[in-house]
Amino acid sequence: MTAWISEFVPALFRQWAFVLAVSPILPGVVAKTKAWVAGRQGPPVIQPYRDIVKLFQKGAAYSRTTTWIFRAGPVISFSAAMAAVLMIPIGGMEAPLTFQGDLILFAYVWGTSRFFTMTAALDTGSAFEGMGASREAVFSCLAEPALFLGLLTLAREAGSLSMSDLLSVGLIRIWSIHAPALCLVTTAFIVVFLTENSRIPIDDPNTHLELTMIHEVMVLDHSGPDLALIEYASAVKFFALGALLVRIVYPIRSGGFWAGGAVLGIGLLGLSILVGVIESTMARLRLARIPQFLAFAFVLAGFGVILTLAAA
Amino acid sequence: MMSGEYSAILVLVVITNFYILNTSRYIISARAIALQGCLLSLLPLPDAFAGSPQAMFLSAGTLMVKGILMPVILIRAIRSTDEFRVAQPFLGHVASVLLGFVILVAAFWAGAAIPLPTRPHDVLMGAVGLATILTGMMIMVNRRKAVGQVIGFLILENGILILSLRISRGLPFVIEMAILFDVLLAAMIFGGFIQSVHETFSHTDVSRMRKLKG
Repeated sequence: MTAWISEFVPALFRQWAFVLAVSPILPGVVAKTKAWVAGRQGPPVIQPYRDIVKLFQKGAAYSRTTTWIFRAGPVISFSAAMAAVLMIPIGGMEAPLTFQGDLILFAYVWGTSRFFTMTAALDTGSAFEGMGASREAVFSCLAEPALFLGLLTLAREAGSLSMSDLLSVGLIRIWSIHAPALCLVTTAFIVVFLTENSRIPIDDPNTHLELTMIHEVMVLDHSGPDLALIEYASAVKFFALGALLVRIVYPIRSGGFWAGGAVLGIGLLGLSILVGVIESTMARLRLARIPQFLAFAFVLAGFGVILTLAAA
Repeated sequence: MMSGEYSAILVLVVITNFYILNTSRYIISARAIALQGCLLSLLPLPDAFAGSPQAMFLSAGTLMVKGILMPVILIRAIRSTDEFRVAQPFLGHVASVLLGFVILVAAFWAGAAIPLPTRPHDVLMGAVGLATILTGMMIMVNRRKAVGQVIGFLILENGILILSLRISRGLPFVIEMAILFDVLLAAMIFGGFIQSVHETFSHTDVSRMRKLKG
């Protein structure tokens, strides 16, 4: 028991320290890329760290109509992000938290976080926030099947239901056999990644126009440390889902925590730049078009499953 | 050609099917059909490189007819009448994409069940051919304007080409080319037909065709 604890606890804190240190830079890189494409200077890439520190020093204002649910929302979404990130392997070895079926937990931890963000938004009693919660519910329930079918493709080929096994060296073998299926799954995951992180073309993180906001509208009433937790959680979410994507595209063969972490960090920086370019070159989809876009992602992931099944 | 590229082409064909199901602009559908024709012209290439001049001609003919001529005729017909730039399918886009997915699953199931002499990648090819035929039929049924029926017909034709390649690795060359020119003629007649219907009745809504008498 003590041996297990002495092994698990350092791994746990190492993982958290790495994620907390690295993740806020990613939205900063996205913002910098967007500014650079638009020919502007842009905020420094460390701006998200400064924002989070600044927000933690402020006080929070709570409406009298809100209850404890409103205060629990940011805490739970941050904790959920921290829990999910433990299942992402960094480097060649297993993640700190790994067991058969943890990929289902990985998907539903984000679901829990979303549920509490939505109830917190409804708790404010604002019709406006309820609208955002409704949109979030619709779009995330369309994105979820795509995520699951993609994970199913990988799990079937890896012969395991654990994220650590899915994202292990075995991916190199799967790429050599099922390259078309993996390309489809990767494309579907990019769509899921953009949806879950409220990025263009699904949602615009910078918009504050009432007709178009999805995620932003739900967190309008949060202030101070609560908003800091939300911002931090969204950066960690960007890290976690981005890491899934990066590790599928570039399977990490071996190496320790720090070497693997460095490779992953570089991959995530590349992904952030890609997101910045997408946000600069594409327009946000009309709300009515988003379900079509997500259904397309679902079909791509489903086709991936069919291809792997047909090859067997 | 490597086997991976073969399946990549077929996967791209399926993706263009879904793209056409998902888009509501006819010009974009016509461009996607052009892309699909170009992809199909790559399929006989392995036989051509293996030293079959017939396959080479088939590839070139497919590229000319399905990749260039038919889309050009179609786009010209669409541009000549400004009413049907946007598809108004009877079934919504999300529902038609999901139905297309059901069709894809059914085609893979049926493709595996049809007993035919198989070579590697024939299973995928047969399934994709079936799925393309069924998707084309679905688009024909589902579109309100006449140009939607033409698009569905061309996709159906593409599916038949894939399936014929799968069944016999090329029908006799003459028949294959004759089919290509038949399709080209059909596309030209459709183009003229759409234009004259549009000129006479100022719409081509097939759900209102019953009133077109006289």
